[in-house]
Amino acid sequence: MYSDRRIGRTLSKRLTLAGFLCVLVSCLAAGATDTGQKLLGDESDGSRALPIHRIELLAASADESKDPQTVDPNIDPQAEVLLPFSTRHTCGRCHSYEIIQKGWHFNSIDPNADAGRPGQPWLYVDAKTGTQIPLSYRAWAGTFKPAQFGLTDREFTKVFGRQTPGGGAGERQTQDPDQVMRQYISGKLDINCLSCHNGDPRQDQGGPAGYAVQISRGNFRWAAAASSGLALVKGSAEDMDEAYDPFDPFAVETAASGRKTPPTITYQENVFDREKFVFFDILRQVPSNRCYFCHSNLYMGTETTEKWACDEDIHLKAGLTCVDCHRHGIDHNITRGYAGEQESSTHELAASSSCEGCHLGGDASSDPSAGRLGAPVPEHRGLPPVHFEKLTCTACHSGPWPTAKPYATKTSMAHRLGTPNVNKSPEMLPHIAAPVFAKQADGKIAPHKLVWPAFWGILRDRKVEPLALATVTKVIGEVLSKEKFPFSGDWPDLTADHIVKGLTALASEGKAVYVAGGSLYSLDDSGKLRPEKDHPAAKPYLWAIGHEVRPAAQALGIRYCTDCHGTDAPFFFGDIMTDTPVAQDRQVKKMVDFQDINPSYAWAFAFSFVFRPWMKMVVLGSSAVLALVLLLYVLKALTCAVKVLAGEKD
Amino acid sequence: MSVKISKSKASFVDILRMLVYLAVLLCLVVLAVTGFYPVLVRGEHISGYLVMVHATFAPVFAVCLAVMAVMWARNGRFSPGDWPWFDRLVQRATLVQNAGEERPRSSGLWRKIFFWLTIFLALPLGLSMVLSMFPLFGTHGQEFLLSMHRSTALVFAPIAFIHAVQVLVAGAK
Repeated sequence: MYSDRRIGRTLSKRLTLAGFLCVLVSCLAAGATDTGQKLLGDESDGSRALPIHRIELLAASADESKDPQTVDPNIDPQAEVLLPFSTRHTCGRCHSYEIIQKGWHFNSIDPNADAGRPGQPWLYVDAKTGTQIPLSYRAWAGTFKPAQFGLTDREFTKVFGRQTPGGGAGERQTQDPDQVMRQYISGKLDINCLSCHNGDPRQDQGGPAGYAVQISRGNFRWAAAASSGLALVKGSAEDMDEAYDPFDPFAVETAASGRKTPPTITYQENVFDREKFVFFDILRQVPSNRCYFCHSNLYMGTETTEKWACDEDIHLKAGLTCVDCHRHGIDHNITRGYAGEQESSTHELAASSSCEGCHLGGDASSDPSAGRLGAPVPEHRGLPPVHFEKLTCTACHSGPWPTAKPYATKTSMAHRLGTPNVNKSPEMLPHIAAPVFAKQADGKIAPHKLVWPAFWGILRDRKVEPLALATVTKVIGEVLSKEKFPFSGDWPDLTADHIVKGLTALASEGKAVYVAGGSLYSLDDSGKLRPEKDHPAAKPYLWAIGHEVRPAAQALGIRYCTDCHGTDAPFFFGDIMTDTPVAQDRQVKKMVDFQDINPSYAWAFAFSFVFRPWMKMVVLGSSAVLALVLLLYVLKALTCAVKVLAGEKD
Repeated sequence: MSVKISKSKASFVDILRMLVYLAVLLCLVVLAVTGFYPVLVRGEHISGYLVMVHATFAPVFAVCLAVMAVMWARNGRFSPGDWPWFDRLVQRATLVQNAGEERPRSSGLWRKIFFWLTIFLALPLGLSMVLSMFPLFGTHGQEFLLSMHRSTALVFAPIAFIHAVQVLVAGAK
């Protein structure tokens, strides 16, 4: 007979063992699942050689839940529609698309993705309504979510998708019933792997039938194929009515016979080999030229506006490429490269990819890490160390050399540089000023690009929310319909009367306000215009400049301290014009206003440098006198000592 | 009576010496306050208007100290009366006896020592800062010079103040 206690102990042991086995099996299963998820191209075997990409093209089916179909250029057009290949399926066969989607270039719509340091926003501009507003899906203070501005994902993608590598808002499933059919016609804008990784010189991001144009036509499904150099896409999904079915050959044929051309694709000859495979010239190391399509800067107002007259970033000239510093693995979680990124990033190279990381090495590393990629270790002779606490490296080394007024600046993302029919006028909106030396969140002064928001909004709980674009376009468009707008794309000259009319017309929406040039305009109870200068809601948006790095010989301070500490040095006393369509309210601010430094102190400190050479001479001279006196009496003492030791009397 | 006359005949140079010394003291107080307060009390680097005041008084201090060194050095000479023990040591070592002459005994040995320490420490104190203003030293050199300036100042200031107290006490006697 077993005692109850013994039975209980045995049961307890068995239960424990069973529990342990359950946990073990679960872990093994989870591990196996993980292993099973890894695709061929998710993990490198260590070879630095480029794998060849001779693959079959896959296109998304009309029903996304169904398997993708192989693209066959020899189909019967009466029976089937020739579809554009989908990168999600073609590339996704070997590379986990879901992992790549979490990368920095594609994760802006993910609320859990760390926003990091404020970066360049998307700037929506419309001179006809006096609008210049920074938008971003990321939680960057000073920007607005596209939805706040009344832009749907699709509308946002149509305007700004041109200079993205796809993904993000462009492929989010719409929940808006009105947009479902439009999304079905346009397709989703897959991540366009080829935007960056295609080594084919025909890769066309900004050509007349390239990526940017396809997106503006709403041809999201066709954009990657159209830009790949493998196919030609004609027509516009945007022109099709909502009953159009791009997967129905009859619908396509019918639409093609009409006035508006439906989107159709024709693959180039000899693209497919005998086995209907296609060769892609895929590059692991993305060439800088690809990055430039979205990340070019043009600083105007100098003799060297033309790009051939401007030097590139010293790192590029030294033989590096963008991706030497901005690295990532299959997760595409690219390093942004700013100091302190490691605090919010899990990227293993985040700490060593900043200026300090390469040039000075990290303290955290047990191995010597300075001088990565041949980076010279800076000496900074004669530079007081306090500068490293007050300034970022970029303050002295990045962007154009500061002048009395910041340069009017154009960027690819803001001015759609490199796309067809760009307005090349220097006055073209949005108006971005750079470099502006401003204090950033970590307390250091860094060069920034700056834009002054201008938009119509509603004041709620002391916060300004922008009015929906459609409302503004309709109401303000009518108010300003008789005004003349500069052909250059510059602001129209708005007056107080225009603003009063605009605010009155928008009164039905709530407490209407107009934000521009750092001021907030509203109507008081008597209907008079009340401008509030330097209103918090009208603060400029700034994002740091990290590139156009100048060599040490061209760094600020290379000539003398007065490069910055001069009474008229642009670093502290450069003039920044508040940019606003209200011409009468344009005012000049000083750079020091953005640095949280008392202007009087900055001036007095700069003025003290007039006397700095004298001070040096005085202290050196005084030290020489002290040294001579010391020497004289040391010699005298020595004489005495010699005499005493020699037994001589005084 | 004779003391009164000698006082009334105090030369212009003596007055100048005292004025220079007072100027040195004033500068020292200002430099100590502006230099030590932010670092030792607030735990920050010297910055803002404090650094400007510090840098304004520093060259004045350097000049006054140099003038003081020239004017006070002779009085700061060590005389055999400052170290009778050394005399005795030498006499024992050399077996040469003084023929009953007694040297006058000095009471300012420590004052003289502190005077010469002040002059000596003023050199690294001033040079550590002024040399950092020339493009000679890199970041590590700059940091070394700064820490040398700070540590020298920590030694210099009490020594200079002690010397001032000694001068005041001696003057009162």
